[in-house]
Amino acid sequence: MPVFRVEPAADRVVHLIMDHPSRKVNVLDVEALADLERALDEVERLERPAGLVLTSGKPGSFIAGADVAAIGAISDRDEVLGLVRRAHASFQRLATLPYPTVAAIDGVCLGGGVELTLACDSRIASEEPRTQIGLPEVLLGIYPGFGGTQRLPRLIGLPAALDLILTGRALDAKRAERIGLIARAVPAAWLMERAHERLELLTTRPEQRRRDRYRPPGMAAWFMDGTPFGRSLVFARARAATRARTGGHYPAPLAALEVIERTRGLPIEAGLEIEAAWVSDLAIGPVCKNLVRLFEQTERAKKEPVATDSSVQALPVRTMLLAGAGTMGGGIAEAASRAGIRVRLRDLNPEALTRALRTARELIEERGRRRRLPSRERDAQLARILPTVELSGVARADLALEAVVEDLNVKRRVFAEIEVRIGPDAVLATNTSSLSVDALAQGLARPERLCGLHFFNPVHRMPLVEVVKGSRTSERTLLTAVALVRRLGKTPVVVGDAPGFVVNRILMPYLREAMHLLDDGFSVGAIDRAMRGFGMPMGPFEVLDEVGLDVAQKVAGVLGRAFPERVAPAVLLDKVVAAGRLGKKNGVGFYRHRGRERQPDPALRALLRLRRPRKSPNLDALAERMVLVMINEAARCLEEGVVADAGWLDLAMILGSGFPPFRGGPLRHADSLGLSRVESRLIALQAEKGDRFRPAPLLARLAAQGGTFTTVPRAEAAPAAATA
Amino acid sequence: MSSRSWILSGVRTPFAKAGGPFRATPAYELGRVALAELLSRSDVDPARLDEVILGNCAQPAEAANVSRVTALRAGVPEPVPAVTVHRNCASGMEAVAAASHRISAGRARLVLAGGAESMSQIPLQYPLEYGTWLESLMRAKGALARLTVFSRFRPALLKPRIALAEGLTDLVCGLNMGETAEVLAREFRITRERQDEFALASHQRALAGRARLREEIVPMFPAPGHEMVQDDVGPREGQTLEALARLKPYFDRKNGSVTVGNSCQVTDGAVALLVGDDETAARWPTPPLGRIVSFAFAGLAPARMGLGPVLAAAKALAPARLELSQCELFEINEAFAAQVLACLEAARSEAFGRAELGRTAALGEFPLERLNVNGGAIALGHPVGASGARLLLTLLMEMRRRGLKRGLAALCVGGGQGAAFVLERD
Repeated sequence: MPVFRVEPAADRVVHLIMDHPSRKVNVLDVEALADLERALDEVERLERPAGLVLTSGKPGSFIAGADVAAIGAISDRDEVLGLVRRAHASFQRLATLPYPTVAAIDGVCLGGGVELTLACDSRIASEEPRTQIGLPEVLLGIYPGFGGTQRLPRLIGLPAALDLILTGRALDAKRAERIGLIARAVPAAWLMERAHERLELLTTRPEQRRRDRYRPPGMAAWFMDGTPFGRSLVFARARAATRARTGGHYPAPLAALEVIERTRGLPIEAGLEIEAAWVSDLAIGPVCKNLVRLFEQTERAKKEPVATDSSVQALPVRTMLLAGAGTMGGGIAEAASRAGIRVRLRDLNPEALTRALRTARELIEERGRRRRLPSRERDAQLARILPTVELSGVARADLALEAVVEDLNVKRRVFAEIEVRIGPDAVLATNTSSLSVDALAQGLARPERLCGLHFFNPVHRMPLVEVVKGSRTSERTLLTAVALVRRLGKTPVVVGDAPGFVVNRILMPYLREAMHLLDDGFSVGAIDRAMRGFGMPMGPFEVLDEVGLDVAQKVAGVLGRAFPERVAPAVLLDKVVAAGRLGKKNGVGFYRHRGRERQPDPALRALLRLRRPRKSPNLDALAERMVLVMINEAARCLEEGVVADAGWLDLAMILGSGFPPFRGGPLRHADSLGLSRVESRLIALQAEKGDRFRPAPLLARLAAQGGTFTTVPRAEAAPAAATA
Repeated sequence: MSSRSWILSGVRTPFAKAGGPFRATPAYELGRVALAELLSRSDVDPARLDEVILGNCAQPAEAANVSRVTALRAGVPEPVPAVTVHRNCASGMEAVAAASHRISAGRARLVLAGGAESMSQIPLQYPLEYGTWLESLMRAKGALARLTVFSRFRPALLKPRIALAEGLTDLVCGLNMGETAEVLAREFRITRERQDEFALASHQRALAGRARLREEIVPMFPAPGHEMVQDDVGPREGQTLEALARLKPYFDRKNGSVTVGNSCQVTDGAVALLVGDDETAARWPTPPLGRIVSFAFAGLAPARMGLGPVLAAAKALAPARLELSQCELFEINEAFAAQVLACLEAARSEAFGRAELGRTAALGEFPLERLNVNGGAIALGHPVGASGARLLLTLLMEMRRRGLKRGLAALCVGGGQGAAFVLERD
């Protein structure tokens, strides 16, 4: 079955239609690239057509990009290079057809899909929200390698092209039109008619064909793009911004910059050759492999069916009861109301409701300003939240989520009150971070409809929700919870009902280790710097201050009771909390906070009777100790079955704790370090520092067998260019 | 046999003085809270509704059919139709009457009726001439033509028209509502002192009834501060006769007696009631608040609009073969103390009964101790489109508390009308 169809249309126009026979959305895989060559042969044989329209045979979806799975699997540089060159050749053939060509885009048009349309003379796209045009390659550790680095700057100018290529963000049709990426945004209903009109225009006025090429719209733009000095300024600024954003850990954006700068002014064939060489280096590098795996895992989390029994259906949530308007209440209410869910927000304390409504409103306003949403939409969203001090309006809720204080008895009482009022089909969920779902299910008439929905703070920024499956949680309950999380735009990871679930379970020994290091005479600043250097967005003490030391103390207590041999009581934390230091929320914790700024606190040392900090500590050694603790705990989680597999665990840690994505998560990171090396370092630390470093049994077993936690693609040494 | 109409349950927002805590809350947002809260508390599937009917007078420009906007924002599904009704101050009662008509005609089984009004947000308007001038400016082609139009500009074009004041003035008789109260004060010789005493009692009763009124009020958390408002804002603690006496007459500065102190307050608020037929009422999970025995709207001279309640009460009682004395509890909307007191005088006057009600005797007595027992609009406020429904709700709630069987709620209507409902509980 062909991927591309060549169909004659009215007025001697020919349609080149991509409709991948073995996929739901169009993907430029090896099969598609091969068939494109065949289709172009067919097109070139045609008797002088008036024009060509490139479009998709999939309704409401154009081309989703290259074959991500194949990028993840490929490890031979020459194979990549061959494939890229083949694509280049085909795209060049399309670009040099002697008559006008127009791409008619409706639906997602990403990566290679965009690059294919760039080989057309002109592009139009439907203005429906489903149309998203972007080059997300850098998010996968590569850059647009099918001509994107060459054709995009020629079309929309250097600054706009760098913005799209370096950030990977997607545009809707209106915005794409504004920057000249497409010629017109049109209603989907008239897409083909407009495409034909466009062809006619290009035919009758050939200068229009060139007008789809970039022309600086003013002096400033001409300076930035047309002069060597302006260009070097643009590159320098982009390079600095990229360095700051990636911490130098991600080679792809810098490589893209390098390629664009070097190929500037070269003929397109020469530019394409350089583009191909560099992208081949990136594609076989470890960062690309880790990011591709993360992408695929995220797709699994967003799409993969959860139930083993396909007859079980999720309950669609139209109305939800949110009991408890505390810290999380406002954020959860905002997320749910954004998804069109009516939220009955109940708290006994009116002031808590006031705070939650203000939080929700601020979030709605902020997002509204960013996206330029009309006030009508913002008001309508806020109007979906109905606050109350009474326990009424429960019966019609499809799901009840409690977010009241972390106290087993209080939570049980709340569920008891809810259960007698709510409908028989409704699902119950708890936002607990430290209590057991099974313990909360005790006393419920129907314990199978309770699960955990562990949101992270702040809700609007944290993409992860741990969906906790208690021992009696039914498939339907789990399915409903997972579907809800997806609808809220969050990523669900199903975890078992074990203390701390996954993220806190692994994070707490790590934070505890940071405190051990403090005891050992390292400074708060050095410890945090060590982990930021490793790639964490915040160091351990910054994290502690952020979540609140009282909250951390509570979680530490739970995990300390569950795993006393690894999480010793944190005397240090108790002392800090006893001194009234709660972290960022009251302005002082391990740091002093003023607004967004934090400064080291000289008073801390006296308070904790710490030793004078050591001079010039070896940051890598500090980071290693803390990372090893995480790896070790992650191995135990996996062994105990708290998560289904290493992929889920790594995803949860990356999204929930900020574990650096380029390292692929704690288990993937362990694999790339080599498990026998990890084990021997742990044994050495065990001898020096105590039993908390005793290697997890699974780790020891795998190390002995020469196995790995994750399926590691055959990694090859990253070439110098890609790590620049 | 056609079905009777039942008021199954109801709630209202707190009433707040215009410019107060609901300053930033449009009518459809006030209404949204009342509707959503009523649906939520009643645990009723909004898809069961046959219609949403809301009273509203000011008709915000951005929500021409306020009722539809309110219903959709409150989560009423799209297939349920919605209509806004306007009978000035009786719009809230008109909504319930319309619901009852549909039910007795067998065209509806469950209707959400009520009213919503934001008097804070009644806009200032430009004069029509300004619009004409702008139009000619748009049409002017060329610099010279435009200059000519500019030369015709006069500052007076920008003189604002205060829609609130215009709305409270009757176009037919030319009198402001307060001036119609002065007409009645003179006709029935209601002294300033009696008016002030009546106003004081309204405040005292509203304050004493605060806990009872909370039973019908849903707390609001209005933007932008989202702080809870759970009581009516109008009733004044420590209101004294002396303080009321010090106020200058507002409508007739020289010879008048009607002051802002003995008139109703300009107010924001919303009311929502569920109105159902016999079968719906029989299956309702909680005992219905009451049923509608009879209602009537009556017309009279716009300058004497304040007597509307007496005419409407007589008209509502007659077909039910009831006398005023058979009603145990009363609500008459307190547009003005003078106007309510005039109604009381008219009702007990045999001459008025003969001349204007076509009766052989007086209509009867509205006993003060059973009238507006939890205060009235002088203290609570009068959000014009919503008050009518508020009277029904407040009356039924008090009848339930007192275990009474029959009550009457009536309202005077700007433009020369009256409205009255006779309600019963089992």
